[in-house]
Amino acid sequence: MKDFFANYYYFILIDLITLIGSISYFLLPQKGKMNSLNLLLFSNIFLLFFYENLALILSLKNINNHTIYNIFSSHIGTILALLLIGFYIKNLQRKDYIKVILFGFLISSAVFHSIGLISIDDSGEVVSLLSSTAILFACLIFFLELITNDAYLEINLLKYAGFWIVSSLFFYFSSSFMINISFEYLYKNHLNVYFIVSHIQRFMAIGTAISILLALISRVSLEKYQKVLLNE
Amino acid sequence: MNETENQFLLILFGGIFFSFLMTFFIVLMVFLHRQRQAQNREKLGRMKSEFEKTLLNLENEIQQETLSFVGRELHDNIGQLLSLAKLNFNSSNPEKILDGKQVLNQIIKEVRGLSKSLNIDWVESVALKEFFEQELAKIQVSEYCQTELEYALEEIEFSKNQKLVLMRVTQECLNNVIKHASAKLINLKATQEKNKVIITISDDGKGFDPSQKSTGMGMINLKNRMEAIGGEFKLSSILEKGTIIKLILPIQIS
Repeated sequence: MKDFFANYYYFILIDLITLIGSISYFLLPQKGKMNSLNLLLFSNIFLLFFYENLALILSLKNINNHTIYNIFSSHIGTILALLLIGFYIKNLQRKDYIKVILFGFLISSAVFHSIGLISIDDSGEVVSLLSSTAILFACLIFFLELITNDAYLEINLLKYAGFWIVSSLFFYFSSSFMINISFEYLYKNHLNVYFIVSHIQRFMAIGTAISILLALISRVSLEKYQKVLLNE
Repeated sequence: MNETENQFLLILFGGIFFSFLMTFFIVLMVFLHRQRQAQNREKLGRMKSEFEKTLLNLENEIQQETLSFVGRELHDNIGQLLSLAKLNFNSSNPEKILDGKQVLNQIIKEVRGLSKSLNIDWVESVALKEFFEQELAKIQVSEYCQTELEYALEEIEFSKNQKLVLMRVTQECLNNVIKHASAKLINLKATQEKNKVIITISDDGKGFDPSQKSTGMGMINLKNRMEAIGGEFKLSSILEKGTIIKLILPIQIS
């Protein structure tokens, strides 16, 4: 039992977060379910649950799961994270910068795939590098906005959902940056280090999922019970 | 210590360092944000006190303007009427005494009008349209030039501060026309465009070159006053053609 939890704690926590997130999302009134922020928050949680569990099933069957991570984590996950960051940016010009980053990421990924530099079933170092760079730039735009835009002057930063979500994405992707690009090397040459390092990334992913879950719960509390838990 | 333990320790310390870095980042962001909030509060406080000072100055100026108007009226109008009444009452002719009574009634009417303009809550009690009419009537009576008023703001209610600034700035603009423009006609127009109120004061006087630097503070003061209530002050002038001043004030439409 202890070993089971030690091996699968990450998946258990992700499933638990998704369960709470799903209940919260379905508690929202019909109009709230179609709200783009609520949809984005729930999609981010559900996507993590979906690809992590799918990748686990494939790995248990000894099938290469790189494609799953490349498609769902590095591409769809990046798009959803960028859209979420873009949602919390109020300045229209900076929102456009996020769109530029998003399209820049997709175009460069498409170019690299088409010229054969990277493949959809490789270990994903280059695409991770691209996605991490895109997210980190988007996070920096958000932080720049936070300390320059007067629209944020009235909010309490410690109770602002956007701040915690973008901060956790920032930390997750900055910690993933080095880990992702050295995954294959560590896996082949230092398997024990690989396992230790992967825990850091998992903790960060859980932290990010929890921050998104809290934002979703706060939306339910606001829309269903008119109680403000976190500011938006 | 074997290699694995070394690697473990490296990662552990790396993790601790990264956690510190994250905490430092959060604290730094919160600190910067709080600092901005404090600066903003200070700025708002300064703006508020400056705004209050501006309003106080405006009230003083309007009072002074009113007092000098009352003084002029007492001397040039009521004084003259009283002298005329005295002459009439001193006469033994019953017709003259009747005339004297009529003059007395006129004096009573004039004094009532003057006492109205000395009312402290005058700004609140008088409508903007009424104020414009009074100001233009004063110019008309002085035979300085002809005046026209087009007023299309019947349903808009201004706050006391907005009204005070609009009144004083309009009054000052009209005074400037009288002092400098040598105009034959002054047109005062108050209109609404979407969510903006526009008061246009135009004259057909000698105009001036707006690109020439002015040594006075008059225009800057008018501009600052309009900005204090969230409005704009726009001026355009052509030599020998006249001057157009626009006071633009955004309003909330319910």
